[in-house]
Amino acid sequence: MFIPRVLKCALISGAALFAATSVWADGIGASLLTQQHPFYIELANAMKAEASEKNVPLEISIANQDLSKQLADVEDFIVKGVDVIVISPVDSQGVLPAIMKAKNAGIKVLTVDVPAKGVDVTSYIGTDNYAGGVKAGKLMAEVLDGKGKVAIIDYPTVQSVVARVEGFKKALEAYPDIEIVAQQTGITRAEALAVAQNMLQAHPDITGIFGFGDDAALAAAVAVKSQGLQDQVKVIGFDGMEEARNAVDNDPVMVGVIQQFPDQMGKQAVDTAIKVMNGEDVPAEQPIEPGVYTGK
Amino acid sequence: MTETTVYKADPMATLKTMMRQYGGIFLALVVLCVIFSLANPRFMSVANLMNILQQVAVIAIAAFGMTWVILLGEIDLSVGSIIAVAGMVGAQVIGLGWGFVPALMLTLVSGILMGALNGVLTAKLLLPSFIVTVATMSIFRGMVSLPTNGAPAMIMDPTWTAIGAKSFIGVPIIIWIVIGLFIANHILLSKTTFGRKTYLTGGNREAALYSGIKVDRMKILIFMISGLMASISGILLSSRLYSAQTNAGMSYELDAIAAAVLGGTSLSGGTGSMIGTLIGALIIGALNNGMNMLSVPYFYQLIVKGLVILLAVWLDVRSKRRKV
Repeated sequence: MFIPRVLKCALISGAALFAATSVWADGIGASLLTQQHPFYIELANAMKAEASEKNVPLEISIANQDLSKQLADVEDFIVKGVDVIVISPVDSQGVLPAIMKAKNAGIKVLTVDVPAKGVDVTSYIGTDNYAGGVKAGKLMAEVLDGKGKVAIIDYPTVQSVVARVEGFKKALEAYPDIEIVAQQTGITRAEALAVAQNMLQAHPDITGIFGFGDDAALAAAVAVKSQGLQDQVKVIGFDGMEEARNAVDNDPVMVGVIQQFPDQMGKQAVDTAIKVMNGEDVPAEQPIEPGVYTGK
Repeated sequence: MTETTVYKADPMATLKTMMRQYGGIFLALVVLCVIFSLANPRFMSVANLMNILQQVAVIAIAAFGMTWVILLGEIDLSVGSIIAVAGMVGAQVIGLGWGFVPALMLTLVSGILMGALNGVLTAKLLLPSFIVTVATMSIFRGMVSLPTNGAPAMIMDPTWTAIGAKSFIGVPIIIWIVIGLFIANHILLSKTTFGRKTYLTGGNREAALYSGIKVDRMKILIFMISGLMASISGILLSSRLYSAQTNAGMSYELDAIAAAVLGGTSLSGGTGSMIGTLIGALIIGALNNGMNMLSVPYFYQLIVKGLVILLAVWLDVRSKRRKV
C-alpha cells in the first residue's frame, strides 16, 4: 500500500515546515515589493534587526513585483491577524484593494518607500525625493562653478522620480548661467546609455548630466567616457547604492550621488508600527532626508 | 490502453473508480491541509478557506482551459499573456465609457480570438503548439503595454470591481464563478460527444482521423476554449486588483499546467479530468497560502512548492501504475 508511505513523506515534510516556522499572529506583517534589489534587501534587513531588538514579531513576504501576490500576501496577513501591515506597494494605485481589505479588517497600514494613491494610510515613510533633487541641483551648480549646460535622464511615470527632477530644476533656477538643454527618458541601464549617447551627440557642449537613479547615472558615465568627454562632463546620480558609491570613489566623471537610506527607512517603519500598536499617534508623512555622497 | 483511459475518464461511474483515479492526489491535498492546520489552526478557518479559493480562482480557471489543450496532446503557453491582455481590454473599454456589459463581452471575445489564433496557427500551419504559443505569449505580452505604454490601467467600474470584492449568500462571487465554470467544463468534457472526441483525438490521433473526427476543427475549438477561460481569469484578476497590470499573469501558464498535471492529466494527451485539475489547483493554492501562514520565507516557498509538485505527481503516477 502506498498510504503509509504518503504519511511518512507527510510527516517528514511536516517536520521540515515546523522547523521553518517562527512566531505567528500578532505583531507586524510586511509585504515588500522585491528582494532582488540592494535597496530592498537593506530595507528588509533593517526591519528585521529593529524588530528583533524591540522584541516584536515581524513577518516579511516578498511580492516579487507581482501585484496579485502582494494582495494574496496581505490577505494572508489579515487572516493570521497581525496588528499592523507595512506595505511597499508594487504599484501606487493598484495597491488600493489590498489596503482597503486590511483597513476593513481593522488593521492599520503603513507604506514605505512608495506611497499609495487614492487611499489614506496611517503613515507613509519614504525618502524626501524633492529635497534630494534640490541637493542634487546644488551639487551640480557647485561642481560646474555656476555655469554650463545640463542634461537630465528621467522616468516620468514614477512620481518619486518626478519629484526628484522638480527639486533638481528648482535648485538650478538660482543659477541663471546654468541651462537645461535636454531631458529624456531612460528607465533601464541600457536605455539610459542610449539616451545619454544621443544627448551628447545632439549637444556636444553638455557639461553635466543628472540621472534619476543609480542605473541612469552609471550609464551616463559610460556614455561620457565612450565619447571621450570625461574631462568636460560631470555626472550626478540618485539612490546611492554600493555600486554607485564605488563609482563616485573611483570614477572622476561620477562626482556625486544623492544617497537614500533604506536602513533608516526600515528602522523607522518598525518603530512607527510599534507606536501604532501601542495606540500612539504618528504623523501621516515621515519624509527621510537623503544625503549627499561625494566620495571617501 | 486508449479504451481503458477513455472509460476511466467518466468519473461518475462508481465511487470506486473515482477513488482509483483521484485517491492519490486527493489524499495529497488532505495531508497538506492536515499539516498546515496542525501548524496553524487558523488555516482551516472558513475565512481562510474562502481566502484560498479566491486566491487560486485565477489559476484554476486557466487550468480548466489548459486541461482541454493538454487532453488533446497540445500545450498553451500564452495563457498568462492572454490573462493580461483580457484585463487590459476590459480596462480600456470601461475607460471609453461603454459600460460593464460591452466591456465584459469584448474581453471574452478578445480571449476567444487569441485562442483561435493559437488554434489556427497550430492546426492549419502544422506548427507545434509549443512553438506557436511561445511566440504568441511574447506577441500578446507586448500588446498589453500598447494602450498605456507599460503603466497599469485603473478600473473604476463598480460592477467590474464587485466581481472581485463582493459576496453572494456569504460566498465571494469569484468562488461561485469557479464552481460554475467547473461544472460547465466537467459536463462538456464528460457528458458530451465533444468531450469524448477530445479524449479520443488526444489518445490516438490516427484513430480519430479514421473515425471521421475533424481533428483540425477540434484543435481550433479547444484553443478557443483555453483563450476564453484565460480571459475570464483575466477579468477576475483585474477585478481583484481594481486595475489591469501589464505584468499580470506572468508565468501563470506554468501554474495552470502544474494544476492540470497534478490532477492526473497526461501531457501525452488522452487522460485527465476537470475534477483532477480542480484538486490540483487547490493543492497549489493551499501550498501558497499554507506556507504564508507558516511564515516560510519566500525563496524557500518556491523550493517547497516545486518539491511538493514532484512528490504529488510521483505518488499519483505510482499509485495508478500499481492498480492497473
